[in-house]
Amino acid sequence: MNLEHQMAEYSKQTIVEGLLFASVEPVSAGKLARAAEMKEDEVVKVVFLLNGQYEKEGRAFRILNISGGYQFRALPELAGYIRSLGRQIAAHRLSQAALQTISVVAYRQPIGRAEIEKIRGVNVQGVLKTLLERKLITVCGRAPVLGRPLLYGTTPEFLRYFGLPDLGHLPKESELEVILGEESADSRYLESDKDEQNEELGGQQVLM
Amino acid sequence: MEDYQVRLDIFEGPMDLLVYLIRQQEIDIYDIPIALLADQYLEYVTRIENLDLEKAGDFLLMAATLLQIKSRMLLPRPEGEDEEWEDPRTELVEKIVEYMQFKEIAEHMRRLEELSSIKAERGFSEVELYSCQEEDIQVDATVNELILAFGRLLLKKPPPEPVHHILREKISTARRVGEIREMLRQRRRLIFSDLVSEGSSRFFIVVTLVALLEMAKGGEIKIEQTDPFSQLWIVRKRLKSATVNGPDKPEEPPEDRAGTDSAEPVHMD
Repeated sequence: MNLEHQMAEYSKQTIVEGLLFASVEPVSAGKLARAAEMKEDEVVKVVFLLNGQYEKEGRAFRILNISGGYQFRALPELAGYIRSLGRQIAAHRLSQAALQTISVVAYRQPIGRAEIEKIRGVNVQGVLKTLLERKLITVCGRAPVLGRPLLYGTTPEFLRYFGLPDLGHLPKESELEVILGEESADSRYLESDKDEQNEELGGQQVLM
Repeated sequence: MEDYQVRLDIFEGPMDLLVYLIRQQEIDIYDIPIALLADQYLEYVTRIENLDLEKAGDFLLMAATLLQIKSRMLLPRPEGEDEEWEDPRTELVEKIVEYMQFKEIAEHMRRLEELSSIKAERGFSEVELYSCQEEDIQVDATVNELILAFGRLLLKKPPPEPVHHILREKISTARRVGEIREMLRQRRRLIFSDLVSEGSSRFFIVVTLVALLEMAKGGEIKIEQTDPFSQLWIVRKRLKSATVNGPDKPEEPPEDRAGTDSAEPVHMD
């Protein structure tokens, strides 16, 4: 590798790193590519290199693939310290009713209120409202049946809240029993892109 | 043996209770002894106290379904037509299986929630910033500030109502109190704008105001702001359990009817 090439690579990394640092929200590879005047696959590669570097140097954060974009996230091991700083980590937990309802929406979307109630066996009007207010779900149409009831679906904020790159990373219904059987197996769904990145981050659970 | 102290509100609903009974008795869900299950279910449901009507309705509907299946099971099967006989339990079993599946999914989502949360994003949310400044709170806002804030909202032009809109929002104060209480259970503080936005209907805004006033009167919440005219915060007070059940029971009939006449946003010229 000649020096010039190394320099070019280094500066690309710096640009992408800077762009991500400046944004609190996840930023898509396409957006990063346009801003950094790079190709999208270059961005993906640079992110991979950056994460490798962070790991080697024992840095406090990694770049994760969340809700269709890249985002800086602190290592889970630091959660306790960050909480002492005043961040409400794990404090915004959804109620059991909200969690069940959003699970139904996530797996059956687009879905109307009546169908959700049929599955859960309870009235979900209040819960739906809470989820709408928290922007975890949204109205995504009307069913072509009598009364044209509203249909609900999940939002990008849903993916962000649950730390998922996209809906494809929700576990398949058929896999669930296996997953819940193995304590640690679920962490693999948190990883950004399969095994390429962030193995460290996804593989370690620090529950506090 | 049986725990007679069981509180029904620990169950998310009738399906949750059914699944609990099935697991507890290690019942094979593909061959449910429906008479036994129905009896046990009813035994629990009769212990319902202090459950609001809506919830109790959900539980009773399931009780009726179970009894209906039980009675259909008692009917003699038509001779020699075994193949055409449809097990009256089929639909229920399918529902239970589906529900159990979503219960598992929810469990999984809970784990994802935790795992995502402990990988902190950059930046503080508004709520977190507020909590950090807790010592700096100077002003205990009064009901006047609250009413002013609602007044500002009501003076704004209501959003245009779509012409085909025929459903009227029906919400009682008691119900709104319940919703706000649920929100406060998750986060101790709410920003005023979490509760009502500019898009809310006038009826909804007014019901929210009345609900907040009632909760403030009951000593359940406090209204605060960091500076005069700044963002209002609704803060849950740490309660003695005595007040918890206070405004929960609707003391007056739901005001749906009283509200309907004035509920439709009136376009002012």
